[in-house]
Amino acid sequence: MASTSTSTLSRKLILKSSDGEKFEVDENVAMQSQTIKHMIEDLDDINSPIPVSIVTGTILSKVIEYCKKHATEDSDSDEQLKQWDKEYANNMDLNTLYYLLLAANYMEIKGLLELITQCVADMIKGKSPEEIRAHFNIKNDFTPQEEANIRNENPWAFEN
Amino acid sequence: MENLPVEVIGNILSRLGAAREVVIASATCRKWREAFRKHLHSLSFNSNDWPVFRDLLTSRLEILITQTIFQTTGLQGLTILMDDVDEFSASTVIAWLMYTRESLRRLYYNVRTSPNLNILDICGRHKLEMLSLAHNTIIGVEPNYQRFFLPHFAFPELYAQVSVELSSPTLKTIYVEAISLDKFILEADSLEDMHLKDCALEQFELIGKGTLKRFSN
Repeated sequence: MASTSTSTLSRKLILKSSDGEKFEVDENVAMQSQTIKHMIEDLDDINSPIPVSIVTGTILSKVIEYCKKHATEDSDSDEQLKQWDKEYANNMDLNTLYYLLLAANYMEIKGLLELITQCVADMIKGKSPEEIRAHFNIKNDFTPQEEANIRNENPWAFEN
Repeated sequence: MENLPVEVIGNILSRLGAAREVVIASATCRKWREAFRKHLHSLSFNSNDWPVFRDLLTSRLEILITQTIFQTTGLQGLTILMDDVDEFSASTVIAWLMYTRESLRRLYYNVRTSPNLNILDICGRHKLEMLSLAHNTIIGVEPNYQRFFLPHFAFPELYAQVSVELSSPTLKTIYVEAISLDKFILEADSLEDMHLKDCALEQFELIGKGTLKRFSN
């Protein structure tokens, strides 16, 4: 993505992933993360790399891709941006979505968190508990009694 | 997905909205169940989401809504939009609102209550920011409601009587449809959108600072 005219005014920051990969980004791109914003405020020297400790380079590059797209002002209409978001999320496999969700939650990037959360919610819609477990590879750790209790507490949801 | 923080799972379940989907998903595993009980912030019972709601007896609907709400804690958004229900008993609706009002920010509700209930009286003094009501009567609004923070306030098909005075420094949108009033006074310094449709108002006063951008009727 081409940098915008505003980027010349913006300071550069270096983000460092958990596996040591470094990314140079404009400050306004990185500041979409509340976590990084707070870290910068506490930092004396912004030239040293900022560790994003739980996020790998592969995931961080995807996070930055999202933040760059959403940092450029007025270049796209809301409709275009929505379409971009949709394609961005649709191109992720389940594993990537999972790590992106963790990253967006840790880095506190509201828009990305909402996008991925909605994307996962859409996958759940219309599925039974068994189908949800199979789709997301989740182990059923209920005892048979606990599972029966949930159904007894909410018969209307399971009967019809 | 098993290692996601339980709050994140709560957010995912909240995005489902439809109560039946949420309850079913809460039976996936213990962590999801915990997310449903402690971290769910939005819940919706909507006859458009699930047509079976339309076939259930009102008493059964009241019970299932009560039982579901009482399994959660800290709801911020509650939607109860049932098109074919004549009325819910006021005591049941009071129970829902009393249970959720400490955290409730958004309420959409469209069923008449018997006897009539002033919903603002029950939950308007807490965290409520957005209220959308239909088929409900608000008989007068006392001056001490002035401190309400209601950025979006909607009164579709409100059957109010006599006079209503509303005042909010933060109110941005007001949506009023099919009401008949002797007097309606609205004091709103930040009002930008105003929608008045099919209203019979003997006297209408808008007190503001010229912030109105859109008016429709």
